[in-house]
Amino acid sequence: MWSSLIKYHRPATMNQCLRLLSKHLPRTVPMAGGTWLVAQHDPQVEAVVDLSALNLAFIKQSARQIRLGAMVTLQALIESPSIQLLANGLLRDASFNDASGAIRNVATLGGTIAVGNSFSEVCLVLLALDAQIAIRSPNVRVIPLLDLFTDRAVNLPPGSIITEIIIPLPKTRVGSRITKVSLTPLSKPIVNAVALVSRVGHHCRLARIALGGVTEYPIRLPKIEWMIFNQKIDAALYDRVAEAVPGVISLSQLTEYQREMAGIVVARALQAAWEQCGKE
Amino acid sequence: MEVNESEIQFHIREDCVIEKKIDQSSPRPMDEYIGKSYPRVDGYEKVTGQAKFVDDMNLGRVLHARVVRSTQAHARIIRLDIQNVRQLPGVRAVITGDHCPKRIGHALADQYPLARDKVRYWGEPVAVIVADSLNIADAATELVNIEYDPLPVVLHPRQAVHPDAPLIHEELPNYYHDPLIHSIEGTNIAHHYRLIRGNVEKAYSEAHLIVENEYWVPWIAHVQIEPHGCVAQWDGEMLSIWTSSQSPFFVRDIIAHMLDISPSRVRVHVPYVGGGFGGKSDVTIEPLLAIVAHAIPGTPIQLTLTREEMFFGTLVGRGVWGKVKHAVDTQGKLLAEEAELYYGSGGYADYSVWISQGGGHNSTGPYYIPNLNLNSYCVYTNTPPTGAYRGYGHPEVHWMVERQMDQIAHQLGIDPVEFRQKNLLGPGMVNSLGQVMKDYFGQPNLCLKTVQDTLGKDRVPTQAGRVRGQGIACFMKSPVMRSNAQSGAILRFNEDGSVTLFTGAIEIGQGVSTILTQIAAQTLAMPPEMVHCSTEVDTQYSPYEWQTVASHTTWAVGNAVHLAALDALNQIKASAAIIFGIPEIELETDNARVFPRGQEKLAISYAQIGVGYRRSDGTAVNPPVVGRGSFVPLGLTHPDPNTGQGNLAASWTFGCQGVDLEVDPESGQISVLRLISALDAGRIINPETARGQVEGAMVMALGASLLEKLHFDPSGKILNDNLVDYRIPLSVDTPAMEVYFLETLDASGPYGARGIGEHGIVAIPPAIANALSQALEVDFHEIPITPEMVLEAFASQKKNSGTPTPYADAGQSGNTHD
Repeated sequence: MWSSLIKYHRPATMNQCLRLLSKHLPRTVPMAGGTWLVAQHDPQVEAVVDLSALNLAFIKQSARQIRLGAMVTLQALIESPSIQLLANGLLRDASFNDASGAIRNVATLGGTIAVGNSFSEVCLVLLALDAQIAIRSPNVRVIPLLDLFTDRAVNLPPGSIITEIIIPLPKTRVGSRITKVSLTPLSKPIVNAVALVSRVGHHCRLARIALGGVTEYPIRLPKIEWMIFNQKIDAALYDRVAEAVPGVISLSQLTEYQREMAGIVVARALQAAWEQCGKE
Repeated sequence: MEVNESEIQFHIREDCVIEKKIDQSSPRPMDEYIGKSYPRVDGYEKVTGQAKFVDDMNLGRVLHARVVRSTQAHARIIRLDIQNVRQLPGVRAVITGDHCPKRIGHALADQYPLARDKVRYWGEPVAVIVADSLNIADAATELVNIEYDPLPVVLHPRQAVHPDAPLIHEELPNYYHDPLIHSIEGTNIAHHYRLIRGNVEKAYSEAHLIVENEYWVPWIAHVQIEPHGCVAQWDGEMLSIWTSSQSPFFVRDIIAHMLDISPSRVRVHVPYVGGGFGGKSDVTIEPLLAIVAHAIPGTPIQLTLTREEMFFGTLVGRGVWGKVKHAVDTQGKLLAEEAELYYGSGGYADYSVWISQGGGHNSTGPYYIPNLNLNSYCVYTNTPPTGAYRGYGHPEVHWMVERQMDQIAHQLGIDPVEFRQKNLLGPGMVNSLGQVMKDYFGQPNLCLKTVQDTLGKDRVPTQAGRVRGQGIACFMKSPVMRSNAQSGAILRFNEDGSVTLFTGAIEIGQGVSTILTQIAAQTLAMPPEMVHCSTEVDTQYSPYEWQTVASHTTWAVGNAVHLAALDALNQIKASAAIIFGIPEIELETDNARVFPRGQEKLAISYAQIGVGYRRSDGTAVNPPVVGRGSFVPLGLTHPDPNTGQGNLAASWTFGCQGVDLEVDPESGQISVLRLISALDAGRIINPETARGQVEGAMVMALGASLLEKLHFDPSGKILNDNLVDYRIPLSVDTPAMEVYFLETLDASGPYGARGIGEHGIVAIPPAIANALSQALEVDFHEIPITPEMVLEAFASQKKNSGTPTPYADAGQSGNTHD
């Protein structure tokens, strides 16, 4: 029972929405799907602003990008033809893995990003796809998703909301894979990784690696990406990557097992992505 | 091993031997309704959402209760301020320990329903708030101010028995206790059970090999889908309680004693229960509701625990640390066992003292061991109280013993299956308690062979880069029960010839209503559709039942139902004999009809006789038929005060379980491919229901083996009190499962049946660890076994041996990449 909640709003316009969110009292927060927010039972929250009437549940594709409204549900992503074709269905798979069916029908893409669970495969995949997000406060800003996870307090201050996610379409054929280590196939990952690569011959031309479960928010591994870029990909490189990853991530609060597994999941994701790239 | 009866130290008294054979006479062929997967009688109600659980009770206007819980695991209560709560509009009452001056408990009265002076675990009830709405009650809990003086916290049984351990119950010697409870003054030991046989020291001195290890089984949660719920109403004369319980008569007894009123003035209703697993067999939230209802007469008061409270507000399971030492001779025969078992009781021990005793005498596993020195201690810890959990003492000791068996076999260089075959109990042999195993207790060796054969076939190929392992573990299981655990049944005929069956057995999802329906139908020679098994138990009207626990319901209540049906059948025949003017022995019954032998066309339906036959001239023949049956196991005894032996168990069931798994040696991730069980549980009344019970238990064991563990912070707070962080297996985690039933008819069970509810959980954890041992040559001594533990153990093993054995030895040890 969420006993502190005294107000519920469902504005029809963005201006109304932002005006409600700007109130200091009662303490007001935005609510997308609500699956995370309601479960928190946060006694500090006294009012919610439901974003569901703002027409933000769209999926639009152009030649260069896919634009996703923040209120698109994870299930809608799974069912979208555009998303199924994007990077071999990478975002579709991540949406499926991130939540159970009942949650997916309600949980939104914007909410998933705003929560930014370190092990969220959706967040990892969007990072690997170089996604950008549009944020509305009184102004509109478009920033790389990575910036949100790097400095969340600055980039998503109280009173602002995520309205849109923009995913640039890969210019070449890519291979991609999500890998994880977890207690069971559907349980929360201990660590997980996404690799997205393209190739020319035996050499890697595009390499994006995202890693989850090791810091508060998902991260990219630029040093590892540079290590792979333009390199000949072979078994020796996978081993070098597995060894190098623990050295480039924050070591604080990580167990030896998490550090070691971070290397393993990145190397496995890279290998699987590379093999997929070669097959198609 | 056959033994000379004169060699055994404990002799079964002839008058105590459980040889009371139930009349298994049946008017129908045995396979008419028995041994058939008859559809569940509660299925339609449940899948259509019509089944009523406690939270569905519509009792009109109710008040809502919320529990204020301790935020300390061990502390003295310095001040409890409830003034602010009373001023909140809508709050009707605040009940504290001052309202509960009496300690409650059956075996050991060590707990006040609400803490007084001291708290002994994080989450212990300190006050109950009753309000007009749940929102108000919730808000009011925030207004209670409690000041504590923290005391050192004990979170492990090993810590609890240390000589310098803080005392959790300073007044332990003064508590009321059952004469069989042996607490030790000045310690945290609530109960010490000892079983001795032969000369252990001599056996160790003559042994070829001695293997000793320590083991740990952590505390785990039951995670019933239906949380504990209770409604109580006091009308000035009668206290009515609706509760989600496996033991309504036990609840009645405890509460009547607590309130100093007659049990006849406490009426306990139990509708459908959404999962028990032992966690609802003890009294938990009912006394709180009884006290508040007594304080606020008239209006029903309702409490349903939150999912989070289910982890610390009721009971948890297991929490056992053990040291086990075995001696064997050169032939691979077990010579002796010494065991020290420490059962962490949590802050209160009333519900775990008997678990520690059951675990103690079962700690030999299903093996003949001539020399024994088994010491089992129930020790207080500052954790939520430990209670019954599916398996009741058996899984934890089988975890230890079955791991020992594999390690001994490995050190002897004998195949683990062959080693077990040399030592398994069987008919005519004597178990730890001194009981001679009957031939109808089943065939453990055949169970073992069944699992071994099954593991050897239908193997799916091993994935590239994975290492394969297979493991086996045997088990035995007895119902750990009161020596006079009673069951009753009443059958009442209806106007259409159908019957309504009343028992005190609780339908907790195990399918007991279906089983009892089939037994009644078989005995009465009527279609199961004509038997209506009452699924709500009401202590005012239902026959007495000890508890729905211990896998004994099919056996004990089944016997009572069978006897009630025979009683009813005799009454039917008595009437028919008068009507036809022939002796009863010349009557036949079929399809709810009775007729002279061979003259089916003269048949009279049960509908004509069941409520009282009336002749054409209007005169009555006999009154309505009411069948009565009751059952109690005869010959059970208390343990001998000197040896700990005795007739403590009414029946035994043997079985074996196998696991086929593969491991990723880079990540330590374990993929269980197959779970296999072979059990000899007597006649299987309903194969589909029985298979469901065993499969459900195996999945539960899978969770305990690989996933489940309550994590405490140093202050004693549970860190994973939710279903995200406390992960149980889901359908996607469920591997292929195979269940085999060997049906040696039990001479004392209804149609030869015994219970089967818990058995599938007992030996899966050691079978998994044994499979990992085969795959990686590493030994685990605690569960759950996480990928991290696998990798650490593997790294340590590599370091010690200097070679990465899983790949190198794969071909030699049988862990081939198929």
